[in-house]
Amino acid sequence: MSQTAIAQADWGGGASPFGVTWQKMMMWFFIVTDALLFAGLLVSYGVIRITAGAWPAQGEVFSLTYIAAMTFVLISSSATMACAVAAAERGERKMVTLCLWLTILGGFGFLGMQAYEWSVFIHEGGGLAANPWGPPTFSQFFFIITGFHGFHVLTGVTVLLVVAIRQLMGRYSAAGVENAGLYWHFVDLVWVFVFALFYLI
Amino acid sequence: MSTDAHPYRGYWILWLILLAVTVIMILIEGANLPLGLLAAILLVGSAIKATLIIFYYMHLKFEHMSLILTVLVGLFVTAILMFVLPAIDGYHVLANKLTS
Repeated sequence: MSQTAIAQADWGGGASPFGVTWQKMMMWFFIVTDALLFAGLLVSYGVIRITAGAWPAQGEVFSLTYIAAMTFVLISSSATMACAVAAAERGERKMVTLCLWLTILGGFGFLGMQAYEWSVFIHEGGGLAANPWGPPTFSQFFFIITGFHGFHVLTGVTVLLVVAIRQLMGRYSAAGVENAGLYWHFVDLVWVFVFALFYLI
Repeated sequence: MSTDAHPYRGYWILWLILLAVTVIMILIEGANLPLGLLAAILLVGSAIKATLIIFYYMHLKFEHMSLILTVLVGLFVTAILMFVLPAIDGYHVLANKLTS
């Protein structure tokens, strides 16, 4: 047996070690690095909060019911996105259209709710340098963390709009829908941690 | 995850599970537990939700083991290290601040 044959038998990944297209591989790598960015933000939030000692009670600043409704909208849009990816894989064009636009609707819904949350927060006196409920670092982290996440949602909605419009023109691939879906689920994934660490704890 | 008769059913079952875990986490938050315990429970809840989303919505479960390990090791090990080490440091700073 030649050396190449042995190498191939031991490890069949020489040509395509991950067994996916380069687009999907790069999307996963991007997701890992972007997740670590959010992990960094949440860790710095945790450290500042522990060292601050006193911290505002989130229940007095935010309406948890409202935040739960935002979570519901985002999780639901993730479910419709998963259906869009599955429908694209099966070649069911009408189902792809329906699910993609429902996902976009959910994305806009979440953004609208966040805009309202921000406007209430600012109206009550919260700002980058001011916080009527306690240490100003609290409102700084509020704007930075939810702002970063909200910008990711906005990017995701833009990507989905491009995919959905191209899909209406008949120019789309199942792989393209799947890649947009990976990004959209990632945005939902980040919110899971923002919701638990920033709003609940 | 999906059968030919009901190709989308699995995704909606997962949707219900994710919502249920979220509601349970909100109820636990209202139970007035000590902060450390609450943080631990909510982090476990978030990790369960994250794993379900990554494995089934993002189909990572069905990729090659090399991609699964790249993502999971890259994400979880680094994130856990990032969370644990600065938290210890944070308590250290707090303790010194209170005694000085």
